[in-house]
Order: sequence, then structure tokens, then C-alpha cells
Amino acid sequence: MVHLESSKDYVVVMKGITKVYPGGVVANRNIDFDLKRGEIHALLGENGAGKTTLMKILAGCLLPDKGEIYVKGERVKFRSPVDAIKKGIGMVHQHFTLIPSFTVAENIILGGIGGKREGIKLDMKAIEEEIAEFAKKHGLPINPKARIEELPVGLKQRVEILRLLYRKADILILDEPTSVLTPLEVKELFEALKRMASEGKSIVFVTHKLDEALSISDRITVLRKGEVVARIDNPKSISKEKLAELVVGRKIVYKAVKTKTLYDKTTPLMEIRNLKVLDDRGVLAVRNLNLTLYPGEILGLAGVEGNGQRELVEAITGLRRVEEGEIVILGKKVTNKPPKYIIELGVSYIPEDRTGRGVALELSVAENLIAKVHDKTPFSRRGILNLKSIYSFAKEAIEKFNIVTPSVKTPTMYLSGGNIQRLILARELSFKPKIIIAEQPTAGLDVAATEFIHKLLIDFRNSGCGILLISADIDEILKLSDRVAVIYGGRIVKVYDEVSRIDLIELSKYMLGVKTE
Amino acid sequence: MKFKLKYSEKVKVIYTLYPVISIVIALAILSLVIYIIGVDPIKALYYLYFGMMGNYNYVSETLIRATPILLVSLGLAIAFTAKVWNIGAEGQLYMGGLIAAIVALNSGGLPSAIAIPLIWICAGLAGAAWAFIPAILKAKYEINEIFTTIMMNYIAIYFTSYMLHGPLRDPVSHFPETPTIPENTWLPRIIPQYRFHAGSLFSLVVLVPLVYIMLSRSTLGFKLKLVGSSRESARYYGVDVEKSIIYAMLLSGFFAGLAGANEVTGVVFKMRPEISPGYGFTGIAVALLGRLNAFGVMLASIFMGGLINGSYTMHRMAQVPVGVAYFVQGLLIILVVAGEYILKRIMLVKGVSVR
Repeated sequence: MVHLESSKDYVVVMKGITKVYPGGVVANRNIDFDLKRGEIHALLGENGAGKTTLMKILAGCLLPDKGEIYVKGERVKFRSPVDAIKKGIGMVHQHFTLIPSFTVAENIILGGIGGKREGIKLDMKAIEEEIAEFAKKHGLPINPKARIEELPVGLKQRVEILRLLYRKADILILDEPTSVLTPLEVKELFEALKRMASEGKSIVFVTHKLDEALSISDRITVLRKGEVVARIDNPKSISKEKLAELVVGRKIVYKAVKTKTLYDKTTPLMEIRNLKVLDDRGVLAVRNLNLTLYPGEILGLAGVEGNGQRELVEAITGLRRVEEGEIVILGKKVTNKPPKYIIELGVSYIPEDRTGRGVALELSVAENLIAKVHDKTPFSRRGILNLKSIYSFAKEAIEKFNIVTPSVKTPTMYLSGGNIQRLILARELSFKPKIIIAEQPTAGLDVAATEFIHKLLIDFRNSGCGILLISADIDEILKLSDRVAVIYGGRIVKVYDEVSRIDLIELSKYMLGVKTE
Repeated sequence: MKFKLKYSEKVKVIYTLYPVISIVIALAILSLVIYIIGVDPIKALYYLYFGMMGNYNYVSETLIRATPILLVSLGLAIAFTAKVWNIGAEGQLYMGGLIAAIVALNSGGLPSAIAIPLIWICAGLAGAAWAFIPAILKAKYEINEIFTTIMMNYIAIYFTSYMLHGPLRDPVSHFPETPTIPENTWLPRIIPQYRFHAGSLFSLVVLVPLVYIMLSRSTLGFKLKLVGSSRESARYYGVDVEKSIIYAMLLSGFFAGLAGANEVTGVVFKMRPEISPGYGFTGIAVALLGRLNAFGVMLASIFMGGLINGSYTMHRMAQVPVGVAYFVQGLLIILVVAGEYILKRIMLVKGVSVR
């Protein structure tokens, strides 16, 4: 092999990168990675494969335990992200790092404006004009005076990218940039990325989605369990199936079979009428929302985060007060009833906040498994817990749902994220639910775990359960749902009765509020 | 890998033994202080030990001293399990003692078997009632219970003082105190010639196992644990968080009230303004030192009772100030709270489980 590190074409060469986290998890094992000038290089792998760790090392956020990094032919050792940006490397993280109450321009110049203008007085007007011009030039137009908290997610991401470009980054790392975007926004992002690449910027595109890697990248590096398993120089030459096998390392065994339309519109499981709910700040988050859930269907709730999904779910489960309107479940009015009443009607809830709400971290695995039914036989009698039946139930559930834990008595905080989600599923699905509210059920999980959950949800649907699926992942909604409802600004703006007929661009427009019925 | 396992095992052992380790550290610091004030620490510590359990009489006295602390800290263990920070046990104890004296003074003629349980229950209810005010403020309006319970202490102590200087004052006594309560309301002594009484025995043999079972085996204890671990999860699990907070507070107030009754019917036989030298606060240290486990709390309260008694002996024989008992108590709170937090962090990072 020629010496890549001294070659002019390669802007980044990483050699033998190894990173071990405290606790002994090897996130990166002897990884080689390189990036050519002007290319879009996809770093593909499942959640937990070590993609983010590797890129955080390149961006100076983490120190490697072993290995060498060369940037533009020069050996570097980054101590902080500031060192990396000086060499032109910038990263857009999955969780944005913008200050919500600041304007776009203020956020972009946070790292300094450079040159002689770094004085006492900040001429915001001139800077705003300059930034508007700068943004336009890069094909990422934006209003520099807008406050970040008022912007939709897609534009926030744009600000993150602009901020890096403004600081003269020519090597951009984007960590799962599409996970929060609507299909329309993804299209726009891809166009902008291609344009930047053609202007000589080098881009690392971190993703777990095969289609995205195949459609946008010039080269693909596949990571699995902290190691490089494949380098694909010509993505056109590889099939999606082959790539999937490389990513997962085995054939996926779970196959969810969705039976034909099951749901029956004569007997709704849950009806929501003219619902009004406030958010934490006391502002109306759900405004006059109407929604019906039938038995035997998965109803996908599509929408950009923060459009009232959270408040809607909390109102249904009794965790948030309803201001107006009503919720009827199985013929019973449940508006403003305590959570226990709703649980006992057979409503299961898989919350998005797994560690804050879904489990009590200090309590054991067994205790969390029976927490909702601890006061029912056989788990307790006359106020006294029956530990024997609790432990035997827990052992069964651990086996059935493949929860990896040293024992049933281990505090839940020692479990990994994926296993905590399995624990939550085991509890929510073990007691014959009639309605399942699934909030981002597969976020952050690997392919196998995602398939496992999808199969479970479909099985429950097939057996007559009504499932309300809230997901930021449009692909997941389209794959699982029988019907799709679009939520925007606290209202249902569109209901699609046939998923196969959905026009993605139209769906995006509804999600972004550009179009209403 | 092998080394790591050994390391984590070591941390686990340290965690298990940490209450004992913190006592040793506290006594070591105490020795240093004794040395600095010019007393031979070996001699001082010997008298401390002797005053704790040098002979059967000292053992009996230690158990008597430990009983009000035990009662308070059993209640606090219940509240702290739900992370309800009742700092008001002292005031609840005073209200318990006051009501105990009032009921006892008016129970002339009742047989002991009826009078004493009646006094204890009334005292417990008085303590619970005193705890109910901060409880309801906490549950309904999210007013921090730490502040309200602390302030309720002052109200209780000065109210008691007013009652003892005024309406309840024994007309023939030189001190602001109630008349001596009738003998039928005195707790019987268990062993001839020793002061060890039925209240101590009842607390050790009946209440300790009862609280243990309540916390580790009952649905109520389970709910309190859930609320303590995460209010958000508890709500999601269908637990009535407000009700659980109120129960936790009422139960701990009840036990503090019993501690007041114990002092009135078993030790002093009247109500006095200085009925408690801070048992309500000592109980906080003891509940934490005993790791909110009823048996752990029992051992810790016996240690603390002995420490208080031993410090008197140490004072008499080695001229070390009596305040050392409270000095050690303060050290223990800091050592236990800070040390356990740090150890838990280490264990979380290293992934060792403790239970």
C-alpha cells in the first residue's frame, strides 16, 4: 500500500484507532479509515458499531487509546474540538449544540468572527448581512435574525452546518443527519451535500440506513462491533441485500408477517374528541385534536418532533391534565382519570424516555417487571409481596424477551439501553394489552432489536390489539402502519387510510405545515 | 480482565462494610481532636467504650438511650425510602411527648395494659398529625418539606415550653414540667435492678421486624421505594405519588411521636422542656448509617446511644467535653452521605451491582 498519509488526495487518514471505554467496552478496535478530498464517504453501521466514537475522535471530542491521525499530510493529536476546527474538521452532532434563545447569526459567530473585527463592539447588523450572503453562497439560505428555538429541526441542522463552514471547516462530519428530518428535508440536505462536495469539501456521512448510504456516497466504510468489516469503493456495484448482511453480520431471522387489513371501523377502541392539552409552559400543545383507533390496526402518528405528540400521549395515559374535550377508551370516558385506571383498562405504554419514565433505575429488574401489577395476585396477597412468584415471573420474562442481565435482582441501572427497552416491552406486553401506545419504540436500537420489536408489534396487531405508533422515523411508520395520521401544531392535519398510496413529498408538506386539508 | 474483577469485588466489599469503616474514620478523627486538646486518646477511648458497655448496667443504659433514637430512625427510614426528607422528627417527638403526658395524667384508674398502649397510640397520632401539615404542603403544593419540617420543630418545641410553663405546670415543682404521671402508666421494667423497660424490648423485638417487613415485603414499602427511586416512573406505573408521600410522612411522624411517649412513660415519667437532647436529629444520622434497613438502623441506634452515654463517662473520667458525641454524629453524616455517594459512582462506572 502506498503511503496514504502523505498523499495529496487524502485529507484524513486514521490508522489503527482503538478506543476502550471505562468498564471495558471496546468501541473501536484497530480501525483504519481514510477520506478523499471532495468525496462523500458514508460510515455505515448499526447503533453501537462505534461510528460515533470514531468520528468523535476525529473531531477532537474523544482521545483515542491507540492509533494515529493524519490530516492533510500532517500528523495531528487533537486535545479538544477547537484543535480539530483549526485543522478544518467540524462535526454536526446528533444532538444539536445551538443556544435556543440566541439568533442564527449569534450562534454562527459563537466561535469568534476572526480578524480585526474582534473588538469591544459587535456590529450585529453587518454580521447578519454577511451571514445571509454567506449562507446563500453555500446554497443553504437562512434568515440570520431568526431565533433558534423558533426554527424547525431541518433549519437548526442547517445552522449547525453553516457554523462549521463559517469557521472554515472543509472536512464535515454529519452524525445521523437524517434521523430528525422529513423526506423533503432529506432531499434538500442531500442536494446541499453534493454541492459542497463538488466545491471541494470532504464529507463523512454517518448513518445506519442502507438506502441513504447507497444513494449519496462515493465510498462506504462498514463498521460492525467496533471493527471495519468492509470498504466499498464503488457503491453501485453492491446490492442492498449484500450490504445489509455486511452491516448486521448475519441474516435477520425475525420476519414479521402482516396479515391483510384487519381493523373494523364499527367498534373503535379509543376515540379522542376535540382534545385540548397544555404543555409544561402552559401553552396549548394539543388543539382540538380528533383521532380514532380501531382494534387490529397500527395507526402511525407522523409528525415533526414537538408538535404535540408528547402531550397527546400523556393525556391518553393519564399523566397530563386534559383542558377540554374527551378521551373514550373501550366505551369508558377516561378524561382526567388517574393513570392506574387507564392501565387497568388494558392500555400499555412504551415511553420514549426509557430511563426517566420507563423504568425506576435504582430498582431491580424483577421489581421493574412487576411494578404495574405488584398489587395484584399472584404477585402480592393482602398487601404482602410474594417474592417467589415475582422472581419466577421475572425469570420467564427475561428468557422470553432475551433480556441480558446478571440476575433478576440486579438494579436496572446496570443494564444497557437495548436491554432496558426489552425489559419495558416485557412488562408492557405481558399482561394482555388491548391498546399499545408505542413512543419511538426502536430509537437507538440495533437492527436485530428493531426487527424483534417490529415483529412483536405486528403480532399484537394481528391478534386484535390497537396500536398507536409515534415515531420520528418515517420508514418505520410506513413499514408498520395500517393507517397514518399526520400531526402538526397539535392537530391531526391528514389521515391516510391506505399506506401504499402515500406520496412522500405530500406527506412531508403536511408534516411541515406547508399544506393543510 | 482478572484484575478488573478483583478490583470491582474490592469496591463491593468496601461498600458493604462502609458504615463500619466510616465509624472507624470518625473515631480516628475524634482521637486526633482529643490528642490536640491534650488528653491521652487511648485512655479517653477506653472510657468511651466502658461507658457504652463496660458492664450490664451500662448495656441496659445504652439500650434505654438507644430506644428513642431507634423509634425516630425507624420512622425516618420509612420516609427516606420514599426520598421524603423529614427533618421534623424532633418536633414530632415533642408533640408525642406532650400528648403522652396529658393522656397519662388523665388516665387515673385505668389498668396498665390499657393505659400504656392508649398513651402510645395517642402520642403516635400526635406526631403524625404534626407531620401531616408539611406532608400536605409537599404533596399538594410541592413545598419543600425540609424547610417546613425544620420550622415545625421550633413551633412544637416552643409550644411545649409554653404549655409546661403555663397550663400543664406542676404547681409544686420548681421547674417548668408536668406533675409525675401515675404509676399505672409507667412502663414495666424487664430485669430486676436494671432500668431496661418494656418500651425498649417492644421496639427491638416487635417494631424492628415489623418495619423491616413493611419496607422489604409489603406493597406499601414497594410503592415507597418506587416513589423514592423515580417519581416520574412511579406515576407512570400507576402509583398515587401524592398519597405515598403523605403516608411516608405520617408514618415517620407516628414513630417520632412514639419516641416521645417512650421517654415520658419509660424514662422521665413526666414531660419536660428538655425531654430530648436532639434525638430527632440524631435519628437522621442513624437512619442513613443503617442504610434505611430496619436491622441496620437498630445496630446504628444502639451504637449512637452508647456513644452518647460513653461520652458522659469520658467526660467524667478523662475531662473530654460531652459534645464529642454530637461531634462524631456530625462527622458520620458527612462521611456516610459523601462516602456512599462516591462509592456508588465508582460502582456505577465499573458496573458492579450491589443489593
